[in-house]
Formats: sequence, C-alpha cells, structure tokens
Amino acid sequence: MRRFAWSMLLPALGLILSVTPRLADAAGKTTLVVMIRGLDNPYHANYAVGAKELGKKLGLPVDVLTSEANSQKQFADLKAEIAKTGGNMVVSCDPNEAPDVVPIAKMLEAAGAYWVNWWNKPPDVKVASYPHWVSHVQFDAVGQGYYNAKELFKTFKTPNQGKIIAIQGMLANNAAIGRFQGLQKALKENPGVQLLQWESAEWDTTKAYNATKALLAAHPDVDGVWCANDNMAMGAIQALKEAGLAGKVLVTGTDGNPEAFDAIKAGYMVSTEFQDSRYQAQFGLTMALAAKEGKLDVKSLPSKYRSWMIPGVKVNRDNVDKFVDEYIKSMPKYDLSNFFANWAGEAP
Amino acid sequence: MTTATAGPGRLTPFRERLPGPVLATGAWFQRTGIAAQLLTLAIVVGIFAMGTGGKYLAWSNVQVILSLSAIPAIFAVGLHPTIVAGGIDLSLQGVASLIAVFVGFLLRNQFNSHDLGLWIILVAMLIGAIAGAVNGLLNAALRIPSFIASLGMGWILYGLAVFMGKAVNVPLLDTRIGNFASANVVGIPLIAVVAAGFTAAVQLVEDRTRLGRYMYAIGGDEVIARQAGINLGVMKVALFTAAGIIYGLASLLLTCRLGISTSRMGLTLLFPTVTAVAVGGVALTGGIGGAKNAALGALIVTALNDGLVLMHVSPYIQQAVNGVVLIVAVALTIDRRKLGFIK
Amino acid sequence: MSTGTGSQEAILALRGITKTFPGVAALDRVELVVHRNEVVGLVGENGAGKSVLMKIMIGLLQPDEGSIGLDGRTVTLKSPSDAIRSGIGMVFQEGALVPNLTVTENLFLRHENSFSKLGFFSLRSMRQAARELLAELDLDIDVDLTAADIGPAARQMVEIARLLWLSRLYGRDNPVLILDEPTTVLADKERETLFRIMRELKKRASVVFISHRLQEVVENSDRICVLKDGKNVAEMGTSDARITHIEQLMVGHTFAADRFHEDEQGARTGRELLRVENLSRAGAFEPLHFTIGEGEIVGLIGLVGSGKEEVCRCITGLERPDTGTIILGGRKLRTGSPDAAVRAGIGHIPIDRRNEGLALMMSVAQNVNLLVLDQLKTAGLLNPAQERGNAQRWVSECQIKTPSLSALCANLSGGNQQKVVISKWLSSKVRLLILDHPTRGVDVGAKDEIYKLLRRLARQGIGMLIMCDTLEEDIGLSDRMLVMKDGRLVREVDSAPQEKPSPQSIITLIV
Repeated sequence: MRRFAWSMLLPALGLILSVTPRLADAAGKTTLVVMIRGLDNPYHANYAVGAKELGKKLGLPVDVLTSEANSQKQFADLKAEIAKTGGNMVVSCDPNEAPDVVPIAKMLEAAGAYWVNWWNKPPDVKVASYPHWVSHVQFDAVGQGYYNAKELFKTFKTPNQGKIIAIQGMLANNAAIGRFQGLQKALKENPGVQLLQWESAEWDTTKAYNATKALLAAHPDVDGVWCANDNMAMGAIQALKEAGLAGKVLVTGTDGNPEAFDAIKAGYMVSTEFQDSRYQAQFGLTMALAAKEGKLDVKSLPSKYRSWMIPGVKVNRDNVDKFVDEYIKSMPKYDLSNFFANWAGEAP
Repeated sequence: MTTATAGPGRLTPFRERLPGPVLATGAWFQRTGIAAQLLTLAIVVGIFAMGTGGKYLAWSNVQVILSLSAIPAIFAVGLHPTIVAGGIDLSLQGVASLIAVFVGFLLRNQFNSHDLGLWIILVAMLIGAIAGAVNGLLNAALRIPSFIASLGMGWILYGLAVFMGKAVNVPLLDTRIGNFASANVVGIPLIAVVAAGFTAAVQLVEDRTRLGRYMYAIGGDEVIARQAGINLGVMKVALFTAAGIIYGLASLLLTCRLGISTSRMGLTLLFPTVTAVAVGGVALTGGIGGAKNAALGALIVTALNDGLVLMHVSPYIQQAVNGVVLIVAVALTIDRRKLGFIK
Repeated sequence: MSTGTGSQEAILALRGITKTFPGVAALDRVELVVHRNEVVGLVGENGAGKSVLMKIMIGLLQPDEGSIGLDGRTVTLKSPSDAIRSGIGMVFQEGALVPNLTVTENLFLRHENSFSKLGFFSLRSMRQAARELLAELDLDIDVDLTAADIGPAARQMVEIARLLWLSRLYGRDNPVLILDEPTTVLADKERETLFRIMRELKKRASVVFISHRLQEVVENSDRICVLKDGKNVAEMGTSDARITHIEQLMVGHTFAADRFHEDEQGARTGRELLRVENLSRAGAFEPLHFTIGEGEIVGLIGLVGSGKEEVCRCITGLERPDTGTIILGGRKLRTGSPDAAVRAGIGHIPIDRRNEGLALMMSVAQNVNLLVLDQLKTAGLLNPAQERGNAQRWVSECQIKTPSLSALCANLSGGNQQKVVISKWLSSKVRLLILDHPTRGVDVGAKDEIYKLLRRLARQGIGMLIMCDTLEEDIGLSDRMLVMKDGRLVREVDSAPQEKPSPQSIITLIV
C-alpha cells in the first residue's frame, strides 16, 4: 500500500508542477520561441542571438528549442513548450526537414499560437490551411545559387568559359535543392561553363574537404568550385591549398559565416550571400506577435504574402569590407515596420 | 586447419613440411589475418583501375588515397583495442569535437591571444587520455557496458565542445601542424608515412608486450583471463585511455589539416571508423585483429570511396555502398559462437 | 590392473578439513594424503564434496577447520596463485585456455616476463621454450596453433604442461596436479594418450585423478579415495579394488548385480512404432531398414564414423536423408524438419544437454513446459497455475531434485538436468525418444534413476533409440541392437534379459 502511495506521489507532483507555470504564463507575458537545428552552427546560433535581443527590448521571455537534426526531438520539445507556456507564445521556426511543418502546424494550431516558418516546407502544403500560421518565408535559394555561380564564372581566365565541380549540401534540404537549381540556371545561361561532377558533403567541412580532394584528383584542371554553403567552402579551400590551387581556383558559398569574409578578403573565395538569422528571428517573432495582438489580420493576407521569399545580402570582393563593418562588427537596427518591404517573390 | 583427423595438436602433413619461420609468419598472419584484407584491396584496386581506364592508378590519385586514409587509419587504430578486448569505444565523436574546440582556442588564432604552439600536442593527448580514462572507469568500476558508457561520454563531450565553441568556426593562424599534415616527402604524403609508422609501433606493442597480449586474452575469454590473474580493471582503463590518446592525436591532425576549428568536426567520424575497423578484419566479438588490420581497413574504405567518386557513381548510392560494406564485413568476421543470442 | 605404488613420502596432506555453507555441511573432517610420484583417484557422487575439496586444495576456498600440509609444513592457500606457487594446480573440466591465443601464448600467459627485455618479449624464445616443454612430455602439438584449433585432448595436455612449467618456475620439485574429469571430452585413443602422460607425470609429479569412470580410475591410479556426503568412506590401494564395491561405497547401498534393471525389461507388445525403409544419406550411411516397436529399446551401436549419429539426425529431422522413408505410427514423416518430427511425437535427448537440450537460464518449470505451452493456456494466455501443475507432476514422476520449480536449470546437477530434458518430452506425449548418450557426465546414483525412468517409459509404450557411453550400457538397456559399421547396418542382435550377448562378441562386429 505504501509503495502504491509513493508511486502516485511523483506523478501527482509532476501534474501540479506542470500546471502551475501554465496558470502563471496564461495570464502573463508572451514567450518568444525560436526553433532551430542546434547551437553548434553559427547560422542557427544567431537565430537565438536575434531572439534574445528582441526579448530584451520588449521585456519578454525567450526560449530556444534545438532539434539536433532530430525531427522527433523537435516535436517533443515543442509539445513541452506548449504545455509550459499554455499556448501563450509566438514561434519562429526553422524546421529540421520539410515534412515536419505539418505536425508543427497542427500542434501550434491546437495551441492557438501564431508562428512563422523559415526555409523548409513541402510545396503541396498550403499555409492558408492553418489560420495561426502567419507566413512561410524562405531565402531565394535559387537566387543564391545563381548569384554565386555567376560570380564564380566571372573569375575564370576567360570569363564564363571553363569547368567547375560542385559540392552540394544535404540533398533533401530545400536550401540545397534550391541553390543547386540556381547553379543549373546559371549553367544553362552560360553554355561555355561545364559542370564536371558533383558530390554531397552534407553541409560538413570535413566531408567537403574529402570530397574536393577526391574530385580534384579526378579533375585536376577545374577552374572553380561551387559550394552550397560556407562551411563546405572552407573545406574545399583547404583541399585547394594542399593542391596548390588556392587563390587560382576560387570557391563560392552561402550563409555568410565570419571566416567566409576573411576568405573573400584573402582572395580564396569569390562571394557568399549573408543570411542574417538574427534578422530572421526578430522578423518572424515580430510578425507573429503582430498577428497575436491583432495588428496584422492574417486571414486577409493574399497567398503571395503567406508564402514568400526574401533576398540575402550579397557579399563579394567589392563590398566585403563595408559589409563586415555594418553587419558583423555590430548588429544593425532592423526596420521591422513593413513586413513585406523586402518581398522578393512568391514561394510554392 | 582442423586437426581432428590428423591427431591432436598437429597440422596437416603439407603444412608440417613448411619451414619454421614460414609457419610462424603464417600463424601470425592467421591470427591478425590481413591476407583476406590484402586480397580485398587488390580486388578493389583492380575493379576501379579497370573502371576508370587506369586513371585510378595515376600517382596523383594514389597520393590522394594515401593522404585521405591516413587520419581515418589513426582513428581506426585508436578504436580497435577496445574492440579486440571485447568492448567498444564509441566516444570518438565527442573527443574529436572537443579537441577541435581546444585547438581553436589554444592555437594562435584571431579571437584571442593564446599561442600554445606545439604544446598543443600534449594538450590533445591529455584531453584524450582523460576522456578515455573516464570511459574505462565507467566500464570497469561501475560495470556499465562499454557501448553505452562510451556513447554517452561521446555525447557529453560533444555537448561540452559545442558549449565551449559557441558555434564559432575558428580559422587557425598557426599552420605548422597543418603544413606537416599536408606535406609530401619524396612524393608520398607525409601523413601517410606517419600513420604507417604509428600503426607499426602499435602493432609491435600488441605482439610483444604484456599490454597487447592481455588485450587479446581478455577479448578471447574474459573469465579465463581473470582466472589467469590478469587484472581486468587496470587493463580496461589502460586500453580506453590509450584509445583516447590516439583519438586526441588524430583529432589534432585533422583539425590542423582543415585549417579551421569547427565544433561539429567529430560528427561524421564514427561510422567510417567503425566500418574501417570491421573491414580490416577486427571482429566485433573480440579477440581477433591488430593495428595493421584497422589501418588496412581504413585504406580499403578510402580506396573504395575514392573509386566511387572517380567513377561518377551517384552520391546517393555511395552512402548505401558504405552501409553494405559494413554489414558484409561484420557478418564475415564475427564469431557467432560468442553471441549467446543475436540482439 | 593396478600400477605400482609410489614412494611413501607425503607431499600434500589435507587433514581434518571441514567446510560448512549455510545449512549444508559440505565437508566433515575430510582427509586426503597425496604421496610423491603417486596417482590418487578421487571418486564420489555429485554432492559428495569433491568439488569443494578441490577448491580448497587450490586456494579458491578456505577451510573452516583443518590444515593443509605441504612437504611437512603447514601452509595457507589464499588464492589460486598461492596454490600454484606451492606447486598445486588444477586442470578444470571446462578448460582454462584462452581460445584465440596460441599454444605458446597460453603456456606462458601472465608470465611473459621470463622472456622479456625492456618490456618487449621475444617471440622466438617463447616458442622455443614452448616446444621444449611439450617435447618433455613427448607431446606432438604445434605451438603456433590457437587453443581453439587444437581440440580438447591437446588443450588438456597444454594445460598440464603449463602447470608443470609454473611449478618449475616456482621451484617446486614434485607438483600436485589435479585432473578434474579429464576423460569426459576425450575419444578412446585420446584417453590412452592421457593415461600415458599421467604415467610420465608420475616420474616427477603427483596426480589427483577425478573421474566418474571407475574402471579407468582403478586402472590408472595407485590409490583410491572415496567420498560420500562430505566424509571419507574409504581409501584403498587399487590392487585390491573392486568396482562394484566402490560403487556401493559411493552410493551407500548395494547395486543390484543387475544395474540396468534387466528384470524390468519387458516383453514387447509387438506393435510397430517406427519403420525406416531404404534410408540413406550420401557420405554418411547406405540404404538401411529397421523397425522399432512400441515400448522397445533399440541400441544403435558402432564406432565414431559408422553413421549412427547421422541416422539419428535423419530421424529427428536435423538432416534430410537422400533416399528412403520414415514411418511413425503408420504415418509417413516429413523429413528434414525438426518441427515435423516433434509434432509427430519424436523426442531428442541430445548429447550436449547444456547447449542443445535445455534453456539453462530458464527455470525447471519453464523447461519442462516448453513444448506444451498451448495446452497450459486459459483464454489464450498462459495460466501460471496450470504451468506449475504440469511442471510439478513431472518433477515428482521423474524424481527431479530441485530446490524449487523456479530454480534455474543451470544450477542443477548433470543428472537432474538430464531428467528435466526427459520430462520436457514426456510432458509432450512423445512416442519415440532418440537418446544420445543419456548418462554422460551423470553420477552413479542419478544414472540408476535414469535407467529406472527409461524402463518405465518403455512400459508406457514409448519406443527408444539409444546410443550409450559404454557397450555394457548399450547391451544392458536394449531389447535389440543395431550394429553399424562403415555406414552400413551389418547386424541386428537380440539382447533379451538373461540372454545378453557379451561385449566381446559385439566388439568384433563393429571394428
């Protein structure tokens, strides 16, 4: 009998504890929640930086949920967060995989929480089906791949005539797919440039290093290496250095990691596109807050404003110094007054 | 090889006639069994040489294979003692990431004023040793299965690495070790020579010292080894610590060669290392395999993947090929008698 | 046949040894004296205290009372290393060699320092020493093979050689080697080698020889000590030892001259149970026919390689015959399927009961009930009361000695484990039992119980095909014998009670 009583005590305690903050939060401040992959990636870590700054400015609590590239953990953490805040929250989410948005949308719909999604969404899922899903925003990945490819082609001995190899990201990611499509678009426009071979390095520096080294052995006479992000570009640069080609055969990336700017300045890298995840977090959270407070009428938004794209900041050898001063050495003040000021096109 | 028909303890008549040293070498080969691995390597090379019209055998490509297989080989040499002794050390992801972060912190870089120089070698070995010792104690003193203990430690260390590294990638300004790792000596990648020498040294310890001998004894039958008076606890801690030190060195080399310290560095290392060890002929059930097996396995895996790239095999298929190779390698090397039940 | 008595100097003297475990007096003032250059046979049933005494002799256990005298001086053996240093070593039944290490490595395990310089040892000098060591005993074993490769006989020799070397290392001139059931895993020729080694050993060591096989103990020892229930009951020189007398001393009651209970061998009903026609398997045995009647015990006799094991494997479904049919109770049996054989009512008591007959880590009840779980269900789920009931019934019927129904089978003695295996089949209403050396590793008392059990099964109409450890057992238990040689069934011999053929007449048929 005693054992039974003890075994009932813990769940009872847990129940009480879980309900208490609920009561507190439901009456109190809205929690700002960012869902990211992990703090080990500078890009994702900056989501948290932006969110925390916004939280400080508005005097609201901030929670950071990291999925560690595990979709199940993502869902579990979100459920726990909903329980903790009682639904009194707004979310800016960068989901682990595109299909994850559906369970997330349902959970947040049921909890009555407004949210904004970044990057990954299956094309057939409609944002308009979920009244609390304010927007799906992605960077123009195609545009990114295209811009970097064009910059790379310009550096060939004969501009727009040459051979390249490509290092792709995780093949199931929207970003990877989009950027590679951008590359292909640039290739189509420049028939003088030939893509010899590509490998997937899954956004990882070491893998990109290995892949580039192997590809260089197969194709010793390439003129450029197109990489889908900066992490991989770093690995590629190292492989080029060992082959004695760094500075002669250039590399592109995307994301805007600090070391990328150094590489551009040093002449190993051509260009990258900076995605300011601090801006993304603040933007997403502000938009969701506006919806929650009634300042933004989600139902009346046309579909092109429910799922859309924004540009990143293009950085190359010409503007890198200015850019570093403005964006890296400090966090710029973001103008979040007109949400659709940077609208760059509808996304599927 | 069985002697049931030839009388107790005697070989078949053919083998009897071979001279002593040949028999001894043969037995040595048999125990560490690299004959099969050399054959596999020959087959792999042959297939790709034909498939790429000889491009595979170009010296530049051979250099790439040697260069890319060296560090995985050292990792594999680090992993295999714990496997031979009947356990496994899965913490290398965490150790590698942690070392990477320390290297980024302590070697000359643009974010702080530390400039440890070549002392970083000792630091890497020390961190690896401590991590390994903790693994060993968890296994030996607390009797936690090494699979779980080391995997858990790996994640703890990885989390520590991420926490310390704060997601910043640190380019390394002190490039001495990096240059060492990329240099060539008479055309052969220096790092491959280092890896080969290191493998030979470890193999020597395994063959001719008590540490090595007892490692095989424990892997063969732990109960009997204990009855014979071997101190299991001391041995296990020693082996895990050795593994940690080796991981430390390999991680240091890898970080320096990449020229940049990333806290994610370890994540992609575990699978290829386990595959390398299994392909090399180190049985996951223990008691069989030496350093040269592990290193040779890494060489074979690297040669295989390089060949796949050279032959333009779709990257989608490459990962699957690696998975198949792992399964086949394990299936061929494990001693099913030791598995009471397959879990 | 007795060997000459050794010198009268005592090298090892255990006196007044008493050891109690909670609730059990394992040893009660036991005495054992081993003289120099002598082979002492130690016999007794399971539970007589032999293993406890041995463990005390090698330092694994400490006696509560009593003393151990070595060469006249009293010693305390706190661990096996102490014992080795005092020159006392044991070759265990299970073998203590590391399977993946070579003979050389096993011989010198833990003592490589004798061969090392600066921490590295010389493989060449170790191998040389190993070869010399084995040559001393005239053993022809390749030192570079691994322990797993050389077979159980050679492994025992290596262990003996190791013990000799160790005692020499510690400067002991007349070590005492304890051999625990060394002949259980050996074939006939290998046994001869072992006995030769023992005779060699006698010149420079003493041996304590433990075995269930009284004949070989008598033939190869100078003296015999008999233990029963933790006490000495007798000690005698082997020249005047009679096996029946020793057996009597071991179990405390006289065995009927008829140990196989031939008086219980009944007349057969005549109804045919099993018919085997034209059965053959390439490389194993040629087409043969035989029948087994209900309640009949048929012995299958032959040397290793005569094909008898394969015949049994075909009947139990473990192998598929190439030609022929097996008909059980009038129905043709689907070959090559153990499942079909079990469902038809064929049971198999395997030779390796620990690995193949029992789930050692499961309880007595679980093992007994294993084949009849379907019958012990209520509403589709196993009913614990029914399980207990079934298990209890068979435990009583077969007189299985176990502390409880939920005791693990691993903890039972060999004889009781065998009885659990038999009950498992009985519980499933088996009709034909194939018994592969059913009393191997079982002590005399339990053997007797098993013989009685088999007779009872025969009375119930169960047919049996049996292969025994000794020819005497085959002859004594069988109603009829099938003699196989070189893959052919050469003769059927009747073995009716009162008209049993002699072992000699059978031997001429099988060799």
